Amino acid sequence: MTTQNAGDIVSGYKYGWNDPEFRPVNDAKKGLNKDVVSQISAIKSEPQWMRDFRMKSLDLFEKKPMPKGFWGGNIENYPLDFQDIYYYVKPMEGQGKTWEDVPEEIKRTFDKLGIPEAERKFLAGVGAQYDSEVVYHKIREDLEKLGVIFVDMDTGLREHEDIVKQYFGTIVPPADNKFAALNSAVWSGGSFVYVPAGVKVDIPLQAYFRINTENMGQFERTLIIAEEGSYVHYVEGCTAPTYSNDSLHSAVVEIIVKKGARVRYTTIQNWSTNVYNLVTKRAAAYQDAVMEWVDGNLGSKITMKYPSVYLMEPGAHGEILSLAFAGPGQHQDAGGKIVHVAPNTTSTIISKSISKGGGRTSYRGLLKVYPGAENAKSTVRCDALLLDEASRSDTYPVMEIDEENVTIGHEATVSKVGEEQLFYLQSRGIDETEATKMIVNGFVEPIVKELPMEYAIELNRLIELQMEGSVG
Amino acid sequence: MTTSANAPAIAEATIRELSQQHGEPVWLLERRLAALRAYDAMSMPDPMDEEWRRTDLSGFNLAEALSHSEAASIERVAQSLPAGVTFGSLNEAASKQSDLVQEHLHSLVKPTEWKLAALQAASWNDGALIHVPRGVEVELPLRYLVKQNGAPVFSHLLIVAEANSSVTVVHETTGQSAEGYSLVNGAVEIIARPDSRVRYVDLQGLGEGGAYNFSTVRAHLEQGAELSASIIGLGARLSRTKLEVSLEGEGSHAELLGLALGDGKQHFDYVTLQDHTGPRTSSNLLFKAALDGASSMVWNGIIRIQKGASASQANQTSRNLLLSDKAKAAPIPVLEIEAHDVLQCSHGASAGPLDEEQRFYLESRGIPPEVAEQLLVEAFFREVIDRLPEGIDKDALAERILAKIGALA
Amino acid sequence: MAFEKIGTKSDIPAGTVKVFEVNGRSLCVANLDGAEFYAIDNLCTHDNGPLGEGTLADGLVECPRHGARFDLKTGAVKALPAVRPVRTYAVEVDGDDIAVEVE
Repeated sequence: MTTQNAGDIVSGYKYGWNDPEFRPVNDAKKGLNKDVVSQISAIKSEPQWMRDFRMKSLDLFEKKPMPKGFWGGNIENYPLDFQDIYYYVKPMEGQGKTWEDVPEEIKRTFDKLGIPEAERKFLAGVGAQYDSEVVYHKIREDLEKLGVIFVDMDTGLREHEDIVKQYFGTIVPPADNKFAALNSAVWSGGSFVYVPAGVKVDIPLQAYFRINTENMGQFERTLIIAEEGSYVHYVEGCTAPTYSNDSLHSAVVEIIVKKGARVRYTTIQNWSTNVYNLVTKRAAAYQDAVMEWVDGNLGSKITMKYPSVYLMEPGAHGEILSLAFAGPGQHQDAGGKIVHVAPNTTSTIISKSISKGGGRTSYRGLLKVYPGAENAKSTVRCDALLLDEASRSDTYPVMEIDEENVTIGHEATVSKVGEEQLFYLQSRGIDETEATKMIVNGFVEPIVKELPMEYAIELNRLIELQMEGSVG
Repeated sequence: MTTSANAPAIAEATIRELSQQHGEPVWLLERRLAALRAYDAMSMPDPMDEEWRRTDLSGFNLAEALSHSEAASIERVAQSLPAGVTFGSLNEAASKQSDLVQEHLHSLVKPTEWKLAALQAASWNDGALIHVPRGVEVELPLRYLVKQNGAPVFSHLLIVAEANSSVTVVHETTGQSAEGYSLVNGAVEIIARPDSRVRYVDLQGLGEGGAYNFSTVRAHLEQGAELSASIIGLGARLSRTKLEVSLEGEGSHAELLGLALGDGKQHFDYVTLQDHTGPRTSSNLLFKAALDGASSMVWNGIIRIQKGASASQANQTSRNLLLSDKAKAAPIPVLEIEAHDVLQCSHGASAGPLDEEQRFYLESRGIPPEVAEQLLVEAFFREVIDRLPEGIDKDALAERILAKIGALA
Repeated sequence: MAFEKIGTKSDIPAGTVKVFEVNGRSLCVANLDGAEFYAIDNLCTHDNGPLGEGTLADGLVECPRHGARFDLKTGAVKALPAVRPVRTYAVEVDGDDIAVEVE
């Protein structure tokens, strides 16, 4: 493996190494065109309808303009050459059911990231994706016996075509935005999760995404269906090597939470700072259902991601906990959207952002209440911390309230580390750096406490590293 | 419904005649003509534009609005004017105080901002210049009254408060409930020199049927200057007001208040900007809207704290009372913070109906339901009314608001 | 409410949808397969996109703006981001003529 990138040593990014010995098993070429798309479909032996879906999506992608206006954020500051990207890099033939099955170079990567160990210790199921395909997948036997399905998306399409066809593209249609169209054309990997009625998956299912190839585009597609009264917690983590050239990660996640069910989707995003992270994540929650997004954004050059919950039927509840950390050269443009469609629905959004060393965090959110969504209750709370002079923070919350009988509240603050707080800690013998870290930990605590313990520890560690990086 | 991009045309001759009628200096005629050219070149806004998405202009017929010809009237009323203070027609001032006007007219509100701004810059007439010399304090409010009679009104109010001066200005717009479309298109520019204190109250009471009101109020605060600006919207079918303050001078402060009371099919579109570039500057904004019938409001409020505005603080609060099931509110408070050491920066927005408990309390004491509702709406606005600047007739203002509350469906 | 003639079968090729102005309303009429015709509002309930410029597939019309889909028969939403159903109008086919019931 290469030695650690000098820039990473300064910034503290521990995952910036790459695997130079890795060779894909397909003849990977850069560029996007009809051939590439039909090849992807052919390699996966997909049914005709999915092939048609991809081709139609490619067409939409080419026609649609880059996102602009409010939800376009500042994307125009980040030009992308779509032809300078690998759209499909196949890491191995087939898929490993045990870690021994996974090719040595790839396995080494995941060993270094601690994945097999994590699985042994505390996961109910693991999917590990390397560039374009999932190389390893395993689900705990007892869950499989209960009818829980946790496979990569390709396998889901192959083995459960009817269910996939029923829901695929109904929550995020290809025409939704340019990047949804792109993903719909070239999607590969990602997870298919199906939880039967009444089944509660007590331990998280984990998916791990690793980009290795330079100039890579990763387009995972995830579909989660929670039948009535079920529960599942899905966690995803992602890292990539630090290259001087850009990579693109454009994922689509669709989630259906049926009556009385609950889904929590946690993301710890830690892409290297050459990755463009442009993602569409959306969930529909039905009667008395609960959907929770826990979104941690630490990496990437630019992230644009607004996990959404549509509260479709009475009693539905949506929650978005968003944590963003932007270090030098980073822009986290994140937040969430909640749409109250039915009466007696509730929602909470809590966003905590931290900017350091010139990083920029933007909270961008939508709270929409349709006429007839009586008794909707929603609280939104966005707080931002600016750690130094070069940093920047923006808050763009949009509220569209078209119903009279509602209780909607929104509060936001932007501040620097409080002088009194610092003084107090320093007067107890704690140096400024340590004190700042403690204050930051306290700031993000409402979100970190929602993570499973191992992830909470990891996240705290990651934030600490980010804060230590780059002196002054 | 939409006319073609550059229509309706305004004859250059009309503008020339207007300028000549007032014996305006050449520089002013040239500016008017440049604005006219800009007007011709621009189109009405694209409804998909982020700025216009929630305001439906499709019902507004510019050609029809421009076709009316009954004259509007502008009155300038001052009970007593201290020596040296100017409060007169802007046309006249352009000749008599040419340098002053040339420097400040359209320095804050630019003709090229959008099509109707260009129209205003080409066609403004009468208007007013308020100039308060150094150290002079004008105790009694100066009243600038715009009475719209059907014809389009292009108003311009230019306020220049020299160092250490103080003045209170009440800008009132009234009009009949016009059939068809009537247009009020105005600009207000406030230049507040060091340590000056300006209080500006904007009361809009046009007819609810067909009046369209587009107004841009922009202020620039120098060191230590203080501004209080209040926008009270009661009338018009569609009222769009931009209230933007540049806090450039160190230690300057702005207090911004807004009140909107909607009924029928009224739509209020407010855009506010608290732009902090100077250190130790502060601003507070409180906007309250109560919406009945099928009325609606959108408020885009931005607090921008730029690098260099160290130790600044800014707040904005939007409270919206929804009184009927067809009312709509879209508060969009935005924070853009680039200065690290902000003292404090926050915003809040909320929307909801009248408090059931409070309503029950009043009704259980024998107060009829409609009256209880009126009392609660009045209580809702009390906070804004109480914070209006001293020196103006708050009771008279409160009366106007109460009258409309009483008339709500 | 009365049935207004809007055109003939040949005005709307099979598998397509066309826009018609009827009594001040903008509607779109779809020809599912030569025999079945359906009429709905030409306005997507999500963001006012032009459904009449959309595509048909499996008895659904897809809005070109963001991909929302509606069932042509019932107006029900079949794909987000639309959440409210679109209004439908009764259609009468009399020989070659197509009529839609509007106010």
